[in-house]
Amino acid sequence: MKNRTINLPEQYGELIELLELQLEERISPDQFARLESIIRDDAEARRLYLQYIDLHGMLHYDTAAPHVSSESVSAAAVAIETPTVVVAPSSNTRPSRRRQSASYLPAALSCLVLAAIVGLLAIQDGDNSADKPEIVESPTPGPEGIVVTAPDRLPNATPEGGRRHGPVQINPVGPATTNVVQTGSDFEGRTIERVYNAWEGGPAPRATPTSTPHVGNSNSEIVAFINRRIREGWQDNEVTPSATSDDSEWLRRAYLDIVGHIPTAEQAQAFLTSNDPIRREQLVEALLDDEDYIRNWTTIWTNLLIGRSNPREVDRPALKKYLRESFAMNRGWDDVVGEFISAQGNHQENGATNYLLAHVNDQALPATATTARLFLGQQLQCLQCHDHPFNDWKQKKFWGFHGFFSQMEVESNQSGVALVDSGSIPEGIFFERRNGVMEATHPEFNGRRFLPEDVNEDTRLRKELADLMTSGETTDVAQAFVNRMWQHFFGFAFTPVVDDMGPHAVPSHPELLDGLTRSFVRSGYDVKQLVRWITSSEAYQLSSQFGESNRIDDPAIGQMPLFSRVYVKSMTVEQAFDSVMVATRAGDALGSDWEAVDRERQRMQRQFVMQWETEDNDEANLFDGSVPQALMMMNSPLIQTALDSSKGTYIGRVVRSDRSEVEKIEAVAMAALSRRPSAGEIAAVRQLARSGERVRNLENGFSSSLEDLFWAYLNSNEFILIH
Amino acid sequence: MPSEEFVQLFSRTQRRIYLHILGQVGNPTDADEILQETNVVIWSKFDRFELGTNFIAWTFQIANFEVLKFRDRRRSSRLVFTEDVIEAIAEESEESQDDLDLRRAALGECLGKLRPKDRELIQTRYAPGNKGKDVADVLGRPSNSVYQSIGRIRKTLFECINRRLSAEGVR
Repeated sequence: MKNRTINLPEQYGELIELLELQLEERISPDQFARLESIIRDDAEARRLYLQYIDLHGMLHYDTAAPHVSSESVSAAAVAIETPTVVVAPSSNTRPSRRRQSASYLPAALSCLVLAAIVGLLAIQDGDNSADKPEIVESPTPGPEGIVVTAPDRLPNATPEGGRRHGPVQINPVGPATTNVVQTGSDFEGRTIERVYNAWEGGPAPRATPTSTPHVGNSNSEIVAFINRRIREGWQDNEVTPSATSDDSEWLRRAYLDIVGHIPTAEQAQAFLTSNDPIRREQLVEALLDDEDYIRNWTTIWTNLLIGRSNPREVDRPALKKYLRESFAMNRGWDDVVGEFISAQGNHQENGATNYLLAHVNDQALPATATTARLFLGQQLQCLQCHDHPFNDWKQKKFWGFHGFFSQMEVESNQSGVALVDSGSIPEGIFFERRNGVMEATHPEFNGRRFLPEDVNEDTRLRKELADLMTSGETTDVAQAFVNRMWQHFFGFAFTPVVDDMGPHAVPSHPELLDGLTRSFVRSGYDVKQLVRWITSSEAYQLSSQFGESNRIDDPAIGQMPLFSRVYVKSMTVEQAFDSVMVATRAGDALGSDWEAVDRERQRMQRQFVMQWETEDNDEANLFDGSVPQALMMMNSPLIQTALDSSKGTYIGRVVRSDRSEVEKIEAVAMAALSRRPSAGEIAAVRQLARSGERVRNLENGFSSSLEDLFWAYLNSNEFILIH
Repeated sequence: MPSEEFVQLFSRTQRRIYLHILGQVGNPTDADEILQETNVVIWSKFDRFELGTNFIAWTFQIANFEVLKFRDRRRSSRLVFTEDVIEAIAEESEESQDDLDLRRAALGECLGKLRPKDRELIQTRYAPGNKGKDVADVLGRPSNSVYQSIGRIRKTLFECINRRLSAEGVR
């Protein structure tokens, strides 16, 4: 089998360098000749050449140019790219013109025909080849033998050929026939493990629930249900769960998970000195009411919905405002999702429109794929072109789903960008099978289909889709959300990939997932309620430390998670930054200049996004990756200021307070790690303060040792990991 | 009057035809020109196309022919491929469409993974009408270093796509 994923092999270094020259139009005739000879003689080189230049072409054609023009652009399935001929029959047109001024059927149709005719005339005028259209079809030997060669290359694909054989028997491009078979066999079976990295180990998971699990309706019944199912997994696999985490480990985790940053020293102190038996539940309640709960989840979902960098035409602040309000009011997740799917109007006035606006490029195909992935937990990207080899989403289903977005259009005027449903409903959604044959389908989801006779002017397909997606006793929307939340709190989801929940991805705890999903639906998609259930579960109370008895419970190496401990997570950029701010009170050091803090936040985030986003495998790199990242953070001027005890910082206040040395060390440990210092740490700091040069000035020596300790704490794995 | 289906097919396949042409000529400007000529032929012959048959194969054939005509016009240039190479590339391109489609789908994600600075650079480079040299002018950087940066980013993207495909088990 041909290896199609060459990793820039060394022997092709020259080819790539020549190609680089070619792409920037700097190649000399001699170099060009060399390039040509390489790809003439070597099929592998030819493939590499094609892949590389295809990338260049993609960037040129698609990526770099804005996808919304000043006119109304259809983002729908049947969006039309006006043929270039109408715009610029001259030879030096830029590809951007192709992307402009698309409009909708049927008005566009006549334009197209007109365009074609106009263009044809224009070309023919200059060309004198009035019989040009005939040449392809009835090849007659022409000068330089050009004509002969063209049909040779495509033995079966002449238009006449198509006519003769009828639709069923059409073999597309000759060689591609074998190719289809090859690729097909690639997709069948063998690659499943590698693609989806299905959970390994453990007994075969209990079958997907055939009957609805009995869960109960009260919070305590639901929590008991979670505990029961998790315990079954422990018993089946003969693992003993880790010990219950101590209060400082749990406190820190709860803060980071729910509000996105660590507790302050005072908050930690208060919790650790409390003897209230329900202090954990009380803390969760307090955190759910905290303003930073809203901020945290707004950040998380903004990043999921539109990414960390700003797509064009997207009003990020408006999207955040919509999310803030949603989380502040604890709106049902079904409502929130429904609004994202069906939102209309100006992108500033209706923040929810920005989700789809970020994905309307490329005929809104990304909107379809992203919606399925984020809200339904289904990865559909590949279904555009072929049936999924191992799940029941078929190509037709993809296009049926896509059809719901076919009314959607983007309008751009002086007051900004708006998302509207002004397009007509297409008579059919056409797509190409892998064998090249076209098929048609209609907007369809969960068995509900919208034929042309089912719709009228008032039909709003996106609204219909939103309703279909969120109705029923259990929905993919609820299941995808439960899976994602579970991952958020435990570090791993029930499925190996959180947003890939197709039938091929067997969940680790199918009944639990199903029962929790149904409970979530019954609660009215109550997000805070779901947080309460998860954080009250026995599993969430456990320590992240593991011992011999549950060493095999390690999903990081592909083992099915048993949740016999809480898996260590790496902080996100935002968590890391906000936690450093909380620990150091660096904001205080900058006085009331919140803009400066915000600028610093942005700057640091950019630095981190780069670091984190270039990770290919964030699971494997979790540990290695975070320490250098922390070091980078520590190098920032803001942190230097924050660690300087001479300014009005936290460390400055501690140093100048009249506490004892041990109390000062405790205050530093509490601020950075939410725990008391160990005896060893105390001894080490005191010894450091009395050693070497520092011995001459005991007071300053101790202060700078305290600064060092704080810095060391903030640089530790213990700080940067959520455990 | 072309059918709605034909119009949809046409609009959906524009990019693929463009890329198919580009591989054979190696230059976006030339590929644009040839695409236009190809489109003219496609539109003039829409009634010859049988719905339900392979549209892409039909249009590729037209495009291949337009490429060879273009090649003929540029005979004297030393920067165009010879016919045998053009044909070999066209054949490879036809065979590789599935693979290339997957690669194209992976590109967006890989762009998202670029460092913001790199993404900005690549966007500037590929903004309509720009070439590497224009970017150097805009940035006020020596053109050689800009070429190097752009090349590095392209290679990063290329390798990222390779990795994504092997991660998905597409070999």
